[in-house]
Amino acid sequence: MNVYLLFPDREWASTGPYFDWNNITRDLGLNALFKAAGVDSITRTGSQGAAPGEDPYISHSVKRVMGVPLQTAEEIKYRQDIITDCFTKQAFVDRLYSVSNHVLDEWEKLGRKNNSAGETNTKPKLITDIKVLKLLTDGILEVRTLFEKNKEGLNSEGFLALYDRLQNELSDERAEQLETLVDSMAFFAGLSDEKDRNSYIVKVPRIRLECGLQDGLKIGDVKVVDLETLTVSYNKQHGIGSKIRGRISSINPGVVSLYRDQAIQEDAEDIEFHTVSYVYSYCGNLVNSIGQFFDQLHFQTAFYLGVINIRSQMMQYKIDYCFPRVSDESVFQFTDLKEMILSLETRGKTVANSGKLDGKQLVIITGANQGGKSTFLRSIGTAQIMMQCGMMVAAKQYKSSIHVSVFTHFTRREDSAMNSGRLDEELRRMDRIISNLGKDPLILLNESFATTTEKDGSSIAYGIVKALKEEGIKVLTVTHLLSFAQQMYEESADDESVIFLSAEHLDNGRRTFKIIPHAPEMTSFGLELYDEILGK
Amino acid sequence: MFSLLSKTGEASGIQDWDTSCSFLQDLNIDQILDHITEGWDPECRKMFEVFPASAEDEEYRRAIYQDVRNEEVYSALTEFYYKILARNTYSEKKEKAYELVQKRVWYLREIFTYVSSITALNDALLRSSLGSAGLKALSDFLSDTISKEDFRTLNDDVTGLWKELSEFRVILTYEKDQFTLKCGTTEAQFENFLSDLFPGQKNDYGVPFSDEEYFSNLEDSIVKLFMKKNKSFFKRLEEFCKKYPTCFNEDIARIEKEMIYYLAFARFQKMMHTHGYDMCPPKASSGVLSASGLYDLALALTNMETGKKVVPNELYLSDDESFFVLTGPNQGGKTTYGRSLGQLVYLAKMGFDVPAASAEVPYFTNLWTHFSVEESLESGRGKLMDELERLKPIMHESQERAFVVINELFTTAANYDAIEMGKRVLQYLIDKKCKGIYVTHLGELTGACSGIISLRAMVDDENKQTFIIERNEPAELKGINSQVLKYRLTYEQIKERFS
Repeated sequence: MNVYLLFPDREWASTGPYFDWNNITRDLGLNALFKAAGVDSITRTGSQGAAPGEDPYISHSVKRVMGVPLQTAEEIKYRQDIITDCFTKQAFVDRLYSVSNHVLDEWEKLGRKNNSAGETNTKPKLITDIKVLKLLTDGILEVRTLFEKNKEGLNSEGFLALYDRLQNELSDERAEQLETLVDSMAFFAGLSDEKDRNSYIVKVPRIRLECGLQDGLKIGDVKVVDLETLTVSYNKQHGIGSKIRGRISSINPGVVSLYRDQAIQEDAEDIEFHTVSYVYSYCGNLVNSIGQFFDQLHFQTAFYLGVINIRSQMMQYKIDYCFPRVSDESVFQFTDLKEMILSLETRGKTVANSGKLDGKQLVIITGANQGGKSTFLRSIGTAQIMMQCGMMVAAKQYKSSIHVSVFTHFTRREDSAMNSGRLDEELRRMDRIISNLGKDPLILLNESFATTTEKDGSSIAYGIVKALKEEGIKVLTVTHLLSFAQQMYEESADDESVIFLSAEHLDNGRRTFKIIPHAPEMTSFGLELYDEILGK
Repeated sequence: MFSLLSKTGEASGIQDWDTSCSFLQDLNIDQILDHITEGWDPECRKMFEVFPASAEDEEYRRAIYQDVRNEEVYSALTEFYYKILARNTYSEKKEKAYELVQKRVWYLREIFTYVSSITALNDALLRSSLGSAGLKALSDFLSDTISKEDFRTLNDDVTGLWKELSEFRVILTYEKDQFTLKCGTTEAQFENFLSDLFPGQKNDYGVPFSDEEYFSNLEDSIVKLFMKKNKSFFKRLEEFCKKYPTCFNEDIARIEKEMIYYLAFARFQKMMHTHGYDMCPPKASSGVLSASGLYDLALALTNMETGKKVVPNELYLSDDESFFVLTGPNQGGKTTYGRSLGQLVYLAKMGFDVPAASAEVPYFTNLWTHFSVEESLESGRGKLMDELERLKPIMHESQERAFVVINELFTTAANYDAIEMGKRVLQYLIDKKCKGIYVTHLGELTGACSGIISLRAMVDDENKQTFIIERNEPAELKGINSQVLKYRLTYEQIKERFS
């Protein structure tokens, strides 16, 4: 049984994650977003071992799902539709998640992990197996019921297809068969023994076998004719004195009849064990398949629950969101785009930027220190990654093409010391990027090559960016390397595909943190910042 | 005497491989043999540790192995082998059984399996197109055995009794603390329920009671019921056992053992194939030793666990060239290359396929190796003496035209001495018309005498090991360029990377 809530035709991506997902996560600060996804906005109860209201598994799932870009507009639409359903049916999604959570937890307690190792073919193991089988079949029937109750209001292809699969693959007839199967073995595991004041209700078996004798006249080639669990009730006053299985006997017609006695007790137990163990041997795939269903349901609903949680926080802080529109290569526009993580951290108090970068293939951003350049670059990177996993983005409007290969090359604060080891590391990362570009790449450079002199850094950056530009690769770069920016500016005066942006800097020296089209200047206003902080 | 290992039927093997010539360890062939013989009768390993007696026998085995590679033949022999295993189990059970009547039933089963396995193998071989003299002879031998009157009577007797026994069925009901027994058959409703619920799945119930031979109380009752109802069957079974106290054929017993040699390697080759490592039959050659896509089989086995890939290499040594001297950086694949050459010669001599995409191997009289023992506790003079001791058998006893693999000789000796001694060893072996490879860090040895070909383990532009071995003179390391150049990140280099 397949869940297929992440992709229309498979449980998990057939393509890999972003080439350097760990660096992207680090450069864009996405861990804060994953953490936000794990903050329960529905029931506000945390999972075991975590801070109240936080569920690290949800964070983990969101991280994994975000790490693998969707490849087509259809795939993105598929998830956007499911997310739209999730927003209107939050309690339903939460139930799906908690049912799978419960099933997997209980299974864990029954020793799921140890199951494959060690003791096989023992009575305690078999009893556990049957309990697991019951747990899983009950669980999947509950999921089916949940879907039946919630069908109203589900409009997405993904949820409706899962509803249909549950109906088809788990028809009433099949559900009944599964119950019969579990029930036939119930006596062995002592499932749901009932007790009341006046009598013991005991589960006893009825087994019929057909067998041959060609194995050295020993019982062999066995076929099971019947296997049933019978419920027998004993009156208390009689039951207590006698053995639990009682001594009710009736004389059956037959050729040889053996009444139970001590000697034959072992034979009876052997027959019980072997018959149940044989029938259970058929259930391996069933257990695996339902088990995988729950693993997947748990993982996939965790992602959607994470999206619900992020959206709740956005609504709380009045951060606008929209579902992005996938466009072709020539279109790249956004209205009031905010940097997602900073918005959450500042409770919505961040600058929004709008831009129409249609047909721009190289974007060079220069200007004031602390002017919002890096934030702007990150807002685009994060929105792009969120779009490519089907999520909403923090903007009133966002239109972009898909870039399956996204690369970030950020010089980090701790890297800034001039140090040939650092430069070496930067160059190595750049080499890795160029060796693994893939299809339609998007490269975000943030103050790359600031680890060497301005002159050297400019010349390195110029060579790399010029070559990438000529190869038609989309590059957004924030840079302090003014000789590099100047040289590019002079060379691309007539080039429509290159645009220069700058952090806005009012005449009175105030910074607005807005990014506007602007030619590069010879100063990055570092002196002003120096003055501001250290005084004149 | 008919044999699958030797054309003449004489005992195979030209000599006992003496312990001083430890090429099984040196070439990691013992590791390969662990995989090949895993799960087979441990006795079979001996067959892999003796070379065929002659070039003719090598050819004889090679032809048989190519037949065994044929899927039809392979599955017929495998099936036959599994029946032998089953037969052995029945025989053991017969020995262990307490009741005479039980012994007789096991014996019946043993004979039935024996007879039907021979018939099935004969039918399968007749259906297959065989190319080898060895398997053709086997097919003739089986046909002959089967057509004899005594085999046919045995076949009729055993089949009749067996059919009767297998048709006897008992229905056993366990309910409310009692068992009820009845003769007859049922619809097996629950089985139908299971196959309805789990289509395509068929599991084995196994045996409910201990598979020890004594009867449980329940079984005892069943047997009594059965014997009461089928007196005539037991009478005829008793007569059968008296008529055929034994009926196994000695030649067939030997063939059963010998076929493991081929089956074990064929199964191993299939396993390698599923992991993406292919082998090929080596072509006979009058003098050229060559291979393309040659790899170290033992390394492939190790890497299979870690998922690492093995770098395949080329090999070409013409008729008038004698010895490779292989130099290059440490950890550059030198020893691996030497081993893969040795394995190539070993497997070709045994008649098997070789780990390469294609290969041509001439006849070598023998295979010798000498590997320095890195972890030897001995050092200095002690270690050198130890090395020379181990070299003695190669220098004194080696026949002409053997294949020799030497790895890092005289590492503890002074450079000048090591070069001088190395040259003498090479000169001696080349005079003996031996071929082989000498892995060393001493570039000077490439000029030791005529007939030597210099090989080098190559590095790439960044000075990293490529594990590729090429004909090349020993070289010094190249200088390192500036950082940007190193990462190929200049404008021109990037443009070049895209073109």
